[in-house]
Amino acid sequence: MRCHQIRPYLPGFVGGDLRQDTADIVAGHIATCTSCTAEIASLERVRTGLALVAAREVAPPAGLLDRILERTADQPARRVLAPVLPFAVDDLARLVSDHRDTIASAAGVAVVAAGAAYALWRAVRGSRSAEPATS
Amino acid sequence: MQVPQQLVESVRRGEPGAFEELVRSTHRSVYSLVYRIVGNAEDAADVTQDVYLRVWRGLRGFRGDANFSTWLYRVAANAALTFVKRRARGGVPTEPSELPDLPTGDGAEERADAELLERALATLPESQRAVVVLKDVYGWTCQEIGKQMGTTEGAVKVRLFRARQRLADELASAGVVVPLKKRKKSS
Repeated sequence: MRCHQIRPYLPGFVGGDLRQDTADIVAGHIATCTSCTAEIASLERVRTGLALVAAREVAPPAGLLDRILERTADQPARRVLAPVLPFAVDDLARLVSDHRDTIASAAGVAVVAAGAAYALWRAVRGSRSAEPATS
Repeated sequence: MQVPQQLVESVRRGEPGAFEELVRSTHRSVYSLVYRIVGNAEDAADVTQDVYLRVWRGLRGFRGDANFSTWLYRVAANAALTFVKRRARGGVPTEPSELPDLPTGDGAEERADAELLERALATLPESQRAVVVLKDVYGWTCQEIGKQMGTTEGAVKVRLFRARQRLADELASAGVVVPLKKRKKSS
């Protein structure tokens, strides 16, 4: 294996995210390759640094705490509604917004299906009325 | 972020001041996670408010057998990912805004790397950023991330590997590690 074939797998190797057989191939290569070993060291440093990022806090903008408390303070009515409705109105609106393509597709399929059913019903009804009466 | 179980129970019982205390003790951590996924301060503030509305509505349904911090982070990540998805569909460009004020480290090499990486995260494409933040910063599995993002574990790994490589390149361009192109070609 050459370096250019191995390098795409190095970021996965450092995190233990490769299949075992792939990891074995990568390990075999880096055991004899100083260039890829250096790359591994660089990627390990990224992993170590990212693990420390979680302990850091990004300073929130001034007033965020007050805005959160103000918005949630306006919510008692929702708590009364909660046992009645299994969802909040905002959540329903968000759900519709997030899945509007799916909803439109489903509506289209429903219209086509209804049309087909109606046409079939008309055809069956027409053929029955056209049958000669038997005595 | 550790939230005492007693405080969670107080909020669920609707005790006065309990929810405020919960928000006070957690909003910085929640904002940090959201910021790291959405990539700018203004959107992160809006999404964080949305997170606490969801928490307010959902807390009574929260089962005490799960860790509250885990649940809260999950609600926050879900809100942030939903926002990012909607923003991408709307064609709104993702502009990393001003870099956040970060606490200065104690001079240790790893802390300097963390500060640099925090800034580099904001420059990643948002699908890569969300994946690497959830996996390497917050310790989710690729399977969990795929489920949350509505994609496959394999697709998550592709984004993750690209993000790690790009971050390594950022460290190299900052002179923290030797850039690959300057290294001796060995094979």
